[in-house]
Amino acid sequence: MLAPKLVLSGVSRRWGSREALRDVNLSIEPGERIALIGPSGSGKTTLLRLLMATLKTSSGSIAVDGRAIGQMTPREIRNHRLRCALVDQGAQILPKLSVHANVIAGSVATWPWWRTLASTVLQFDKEKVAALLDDVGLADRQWDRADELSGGQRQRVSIARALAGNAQLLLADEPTAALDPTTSADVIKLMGRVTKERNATLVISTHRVSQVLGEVDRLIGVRDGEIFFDQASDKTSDDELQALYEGSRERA
Amino acid sequence: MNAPSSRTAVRSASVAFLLLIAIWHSGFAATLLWDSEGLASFGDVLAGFGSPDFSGSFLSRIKTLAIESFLIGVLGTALALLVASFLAIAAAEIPGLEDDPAHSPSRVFTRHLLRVCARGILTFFRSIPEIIWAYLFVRIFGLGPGPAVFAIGITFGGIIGKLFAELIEAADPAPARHLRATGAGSVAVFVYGVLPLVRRQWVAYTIFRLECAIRSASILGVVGAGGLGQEIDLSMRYFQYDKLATALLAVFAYVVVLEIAGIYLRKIRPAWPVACLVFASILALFHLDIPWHELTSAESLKQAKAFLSGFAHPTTTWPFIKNALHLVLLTVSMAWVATIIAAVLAFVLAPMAATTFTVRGYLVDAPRGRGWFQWAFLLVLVPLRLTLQVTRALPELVWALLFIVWVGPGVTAGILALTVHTFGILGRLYSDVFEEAEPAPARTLEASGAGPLARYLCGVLPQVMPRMLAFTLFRFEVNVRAAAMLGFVGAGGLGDALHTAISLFHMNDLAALLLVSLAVIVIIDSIGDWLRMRLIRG
Repeated sequence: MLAPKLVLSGVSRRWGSREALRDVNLSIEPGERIALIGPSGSGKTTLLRLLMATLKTSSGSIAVDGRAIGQMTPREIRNHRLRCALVDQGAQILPKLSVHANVIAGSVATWPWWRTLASTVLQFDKEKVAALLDDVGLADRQWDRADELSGGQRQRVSIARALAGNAQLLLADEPTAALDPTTSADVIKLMGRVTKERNATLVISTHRVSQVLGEVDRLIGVRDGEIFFDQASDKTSDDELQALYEGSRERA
Repeated sequence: MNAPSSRTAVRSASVAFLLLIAIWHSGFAATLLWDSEGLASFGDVLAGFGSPDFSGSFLSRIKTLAIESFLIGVLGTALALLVASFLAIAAAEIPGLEDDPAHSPSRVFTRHLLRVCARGILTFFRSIPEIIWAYLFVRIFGLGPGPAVFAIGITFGGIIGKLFAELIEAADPAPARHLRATGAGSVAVFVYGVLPLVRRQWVAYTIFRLECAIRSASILGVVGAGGLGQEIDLSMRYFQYDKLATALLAVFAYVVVLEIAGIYLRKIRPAWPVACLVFASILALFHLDIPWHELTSAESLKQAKAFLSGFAHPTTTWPFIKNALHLVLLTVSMAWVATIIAAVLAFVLAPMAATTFTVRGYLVDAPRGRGWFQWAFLLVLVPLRLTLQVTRALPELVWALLFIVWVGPGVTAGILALTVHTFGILGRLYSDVFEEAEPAPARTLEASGAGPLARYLCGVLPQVMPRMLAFTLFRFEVNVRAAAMLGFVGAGGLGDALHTAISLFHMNDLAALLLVSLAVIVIIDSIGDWLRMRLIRG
């Protein structure tokens, strides 16, 4: 499966009277590696949720491979979500379940109902999960409880889950906000590597631009719900970054 | 989804094994449901719903009885509150004052003795279902609403009192210690140090129990204690199924109105429900014909003495005790079969009644997709919720009466009645548990494209399973008591023998039966408490 091509045209999203995103036009090609940067409250998370089809647009439309999300059937929406995977600060863990179960959960969505039912008593895909966990550096934790893991380990589980589900669009929402610098760098590198190996699209939202510069080719600056700049990462100057954070309403 | 499947397998196997034993022991015969004669007579009952008696005179009688039921429940709760507050204060150990050096050893001893006695009385009061008290009082004071009020006062007094005492003991000990340090006396410590901490919880729990009492009052009439139940009993006895249909519809409407009122009462400030309770109790005092003077008459004192002396000399002949034990175990078997069958049904069906797995989903304001099939779930959801509502609204005694028409008197009717009612209760409890579950895991799954089944099994079930089991276990304990009442209308088990003993004023037999069942209930409750603790701690 190829990564999806996403086209946003005139997308806005309102929460009550507040506008989180205003008239966003954006195109994301398959296999692109993007960092979303911008101050808190600028609309980065909202944008990610819209891309995953877990939030409705207030106006405008998002097309996935040419098909607008608003026109999709429930099955198509589930299929789209299946191609996306989210890594965030660490809440994406299914509590009380083992690491194995947490990784498997990424592929459960593709299973027929009887296999899902059977998975409550039988353990499927042990080797596959073991291989994925090896890939993300958690080989020895397969049968531990996932809610007992540390922040960085939880994110590795999220990444393994994304890989188990063959996600083609890996979205990361401030994945390093709760981590120490070394672990942050490791997690970012891991996400960069696994997406590159699979030709998947990577979108990381973050404040720490320096950390992600090595892994992305395109920087999108978001401020007050609008695209502030959108260019290749090696062409972005420190002054532009400075301006992105300084003039925002949040700081004013 | 989880790893320790061997433990789960052992547990499920032992539950299934116990179920088979209980089915064999109780002689549960579901085949009776297909008996042509029974089906025909149940068809007659259903035909009654085709042409319910809506004549003006009958409707006004139903209205009078419904009001009477309501007032019985209110006055009964007021009485229960009196009983509960006194006994709870006597039974509770005020936190923070456990080893006060100011207390002399003799005082500590007296206090301890008082506490043990009060606890014993509370246990005794709440272990005997209200219908047994009601029938006992009907035999002593005669027909009318009085026995129902006394019965609710005693049983609910025991239930409320136990929780009141537990709340006192769970209160923060610091204020009581501070007050004691300033030299305050017991009353001051209680009024300023404890009461403010527990008042809100007391009120909330009383409102909840008030609802239960009013519901219960609608059926106590089947033993002659006034209210709507009277009419159900009469119309069944005379095969007037058109009147029966009206009475049952009235009970259903009564319970539904009560539930809606309950939701509303919980939303407004607690002072209002309390004011309503006081006002309605005063109204009930004037409206209901309660034989207060009979309470102290020579005749009823004699009966009360006979009842108590029965406990001093309970029947202890071995054949009688053996039979009592057999009946109690039969009752436990009935409760077990009914609880497990109902729990399995509810476990499978309750998720389909929850909107989060089907129509609504866990994502807020997410695109749902277009197409007719997103509404197909409603075809299951709406009838299912309706079924849960009806099965829950009609009390198990009413179901027992209906099933007796269908499958004849006996254990099978009792089990079916308990199963149907428990299904409604557990279905509701389970769906409440689903709704209260932490939504993040299921949301994560939904965001990654998982369907309803995966959301339920991997996202919600792992975190709510212990609570669902705890609820089910608790329901089993409630059902043991309920199963003991069902015999009163002929649905097998201990109730039959209790009914006979009270009818014939065989107080020694009654005492023996109650003592045996008390012992079994205490054992079951302690096993249940222990299991629940383990479940909750995980």
